[in-house]
Amino acid sequence: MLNMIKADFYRAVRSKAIYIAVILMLVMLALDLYTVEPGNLGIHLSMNIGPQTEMSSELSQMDYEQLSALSMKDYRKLRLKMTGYSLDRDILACNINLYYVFIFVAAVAVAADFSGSCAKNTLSSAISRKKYFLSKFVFAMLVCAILHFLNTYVMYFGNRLFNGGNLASDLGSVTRITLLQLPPVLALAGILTGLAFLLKRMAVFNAVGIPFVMIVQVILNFLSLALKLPEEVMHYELQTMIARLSMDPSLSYTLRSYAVCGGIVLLFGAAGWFSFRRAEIR
Amino acid sequence: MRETVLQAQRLSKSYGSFRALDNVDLTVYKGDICGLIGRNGAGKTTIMKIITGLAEKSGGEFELFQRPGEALGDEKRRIGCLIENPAFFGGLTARQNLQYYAIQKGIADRRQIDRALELVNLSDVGNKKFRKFSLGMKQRLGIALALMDHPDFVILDEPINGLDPIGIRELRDTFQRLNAEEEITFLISSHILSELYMTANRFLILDRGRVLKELTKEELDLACMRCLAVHAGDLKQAAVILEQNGISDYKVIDGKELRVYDEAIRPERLNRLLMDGGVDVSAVFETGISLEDYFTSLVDGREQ
Repeated sequence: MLNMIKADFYRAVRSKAIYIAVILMLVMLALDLYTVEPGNLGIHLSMNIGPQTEMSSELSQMDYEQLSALSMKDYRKLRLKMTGYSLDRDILACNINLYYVFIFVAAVAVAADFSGSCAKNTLSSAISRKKYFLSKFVFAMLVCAILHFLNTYVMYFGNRLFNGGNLASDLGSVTRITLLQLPPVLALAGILTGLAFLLKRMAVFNAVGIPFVMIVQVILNFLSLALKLPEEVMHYELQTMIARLSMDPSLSYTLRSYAVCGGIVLLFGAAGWFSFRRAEIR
Repeated sequence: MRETVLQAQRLSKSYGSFRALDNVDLTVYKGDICGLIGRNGAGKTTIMKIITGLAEKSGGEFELFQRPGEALGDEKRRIGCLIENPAFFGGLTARQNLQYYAIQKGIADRRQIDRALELVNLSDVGNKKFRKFSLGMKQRLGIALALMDHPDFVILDEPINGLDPIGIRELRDTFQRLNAEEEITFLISSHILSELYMTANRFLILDRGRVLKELTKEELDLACMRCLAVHAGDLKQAAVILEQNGISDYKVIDGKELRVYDEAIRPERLNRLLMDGGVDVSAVFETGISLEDYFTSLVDGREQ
């Protein structure tokens, strides 16, 4: 299994997809750092994500028309003058964006193998299906974890370099948040790897994988409204968990959210495995 | 008793109501170059996919290296194979592709990659990207992967597809040399029967998911050799005379030659029968039938 993971690393560093993923991640970070305001690719379900620090800024006294009249440069200047605001924490709270980066990882690790029929070379004479499946999961999770940490430290040092220390937290708390967010990040990797095993072909995987996280949010939102679920239930949706875990969460919330993440990995892992274990490899 | 590499009993595979394999029994012995002969859809690739774990059997059993096939585990490394089309990563070079699979298999000696490329004459293009390869080069790289890591059993599905005649000959020599020098057992399927005849020393003839015949090269030679060919002016009249004399085991080939497969008939008697019946016989001689004819006669026999 270790050899399989090593081989996938060998291939990944020679594949354009991983570099595109890193570039995409850097572009998103650059935009966040320039605008001093993180963008969010998901759909926020629960904005009530925990104890926010007190913010003060000239921006909070402006109405919509005044804000609209500001140039990007002026807007940035005013954002930089904010006090009591940690841009790095805010960017980490929006780490659901990494889902779109992780799509490349699952595509390289699994979908490319099936789409190009290369999986048959491995499964016919190298290792068993079980080891193949597990090693692909471990590989995808490892790469996603590495990208998650890379994202954090590029963002942290980039923020200090371009925006100064006013909006920055200390390195220890940023590292702590990154570690706290690791289970939901791995759950994202698990969802995508499970989907890749389930769908196999690259085109189908992309068609389903790209909107998947948003579709799930829309469905959960609908269910929450239709079934009048308590708001707390929505705190265990992945995007909300990632955001809340960046805001000094309670121990009980952290543990419960990790249990949910474990369940998600198991669910998608099982779906992928049952689809793969008896499938004819073409 | 010869050591078996592959032994299958009542192997079956169904896709819905279609039966791709129907109770197939087959044995491949250590040191064989076993040729799988069959039409499209005969079940050749399905057998190969089942024994390499790419498809699940619907019934029956098979053993590889005298162990239950599905419990092979790490011994899978003893198998090298090329099933259907050669598949590699287009963005990687030939050498990088082999390196990727070498890492997977835990092959520490990277010289094996050079050796494999050398065996299939791809050393000069090892640093060319796979996507830029011609069909023949892709096929050779697939064979190189199958031969890497000194396998005990090599399974090749239509390995000479897309190769030029010189390439086919080189590969045939390579397979025969590896078989003789390293005792590698081969299971090779091909549509090009004459080529398979020159490469293999045992044959399995398949049709519609069933093994029609399992025979050695010597047995095949014998089966193909035993016939009397007749060149005559009026082959229709000759056929009528044969029928009148109770000889029904004959065939007219391409309207030019009549072949009698009845082993009891001697050429002198046949000649006399036809001459007495007024047929202008120009030649009667013993000859063989081609592998293709033999295969066709087996398949036709089954259809009848």
